[in-house]
Amino acid sequence: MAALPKIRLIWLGFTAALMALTLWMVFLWVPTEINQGNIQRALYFHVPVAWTAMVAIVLIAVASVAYLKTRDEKWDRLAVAGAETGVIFAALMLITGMVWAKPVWGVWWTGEAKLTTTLILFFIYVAYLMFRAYFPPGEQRRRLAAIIGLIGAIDTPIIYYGAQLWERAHPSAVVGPYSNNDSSVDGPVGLTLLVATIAFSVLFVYVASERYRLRKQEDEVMALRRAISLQALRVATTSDSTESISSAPAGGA
Amino acid sequence: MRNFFVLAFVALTALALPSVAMAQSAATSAASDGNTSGVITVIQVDSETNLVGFVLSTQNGELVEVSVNDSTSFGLENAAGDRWVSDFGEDPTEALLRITDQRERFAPVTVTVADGVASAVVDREQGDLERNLGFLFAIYIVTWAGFFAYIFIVSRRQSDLAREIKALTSQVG
Repeated sequence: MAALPKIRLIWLGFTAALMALTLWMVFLWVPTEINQGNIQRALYFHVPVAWTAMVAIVLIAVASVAYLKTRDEKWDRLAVAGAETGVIFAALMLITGMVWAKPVWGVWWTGEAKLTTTLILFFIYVAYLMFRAYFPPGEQRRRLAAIIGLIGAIDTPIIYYGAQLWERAHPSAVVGPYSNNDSSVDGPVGLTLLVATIAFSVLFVYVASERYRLRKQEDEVMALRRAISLQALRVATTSDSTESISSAPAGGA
Repeated sequence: MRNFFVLAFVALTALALPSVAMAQSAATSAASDGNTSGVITVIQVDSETNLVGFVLSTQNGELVEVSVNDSTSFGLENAAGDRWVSDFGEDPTEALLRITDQRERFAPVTVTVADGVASAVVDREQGDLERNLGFLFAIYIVTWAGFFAYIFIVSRRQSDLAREIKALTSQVG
């Protein structure tokens, strides 16, 4: 038990160190981009946050499949942790994207496929969490939530290929198997983006693990409350039966 | 007495000359990797009048020598507001014209140097590269405020639940 907080502390320190390195690279090391100027530094926040939002939905899908297969509650907890962390990252992806779009495109938002499918991803996360919040707890909720999580994962490849299939204002993928070979993301820019992506991934693992721990505590509290209710019910039943025995007429037939 | 002054003059001159020579050699140095801003003072061309490099006078008064190659990118705007964005290899003549124009107007440029060669040359007029800093600040603040707020909420809920678990365990136990 004592080792757990130590691991968490080490992980937190590792995350902080990586983030400090990222900030140094973003603001002091990497050269300023020619056309956009300093606002291009938003890339090192927007792309890693978007990446982790995608990882979160994949995590939900994997955990959902594992839950449906094993019915082990730990997978359900992992899916919840992924969904709640994912909604934070997806919201930040949308906000940072909008703030970047305004000075570069001249508008906060365009209705193109990449942006719309990303907004849908955000709504999938919200729908998943709302379903869990309003549906009565139990096996049925976990099973249906797993199915919603799986359906939501279909959106991920559409977002990734969206800019290639229907390219408009949002640039095509700059990393990954479908990226453009003429991409300018190489040298210092590519290295900074890589370090930032690793840093945000490490941060995601930390935040998701904390949320997983919280979910475990919530389950523990529910189990304890149930045990107390059962205990009270058992005491009440026992005292009722004792009372009925003592109040029964003496003697017999 | 006269000889003393002559000797002193010769000695001082002998001591001063190496210092002047050292100062001259330090005046123009090769640009180190990273961003350097300044005004172009000298344009270096080869025997066929092709641009090979230039010398920048930085804000600190240092002279920095920068060389260009085919992959050097340019993003320069002339007095008429016509912005030219291209690589040196694609149009070396236009690059020379733009650099000359920048020098004649004393228009400052920012040069990004990698491995001793300029990888990008852009104009710094009116602080173009510093545009939209407010938006960048907003992105940075939103990202970090979001994370800190969420982590704070999660950790507070964790401690509340830990207390509740302790209380409930004592009730059950």
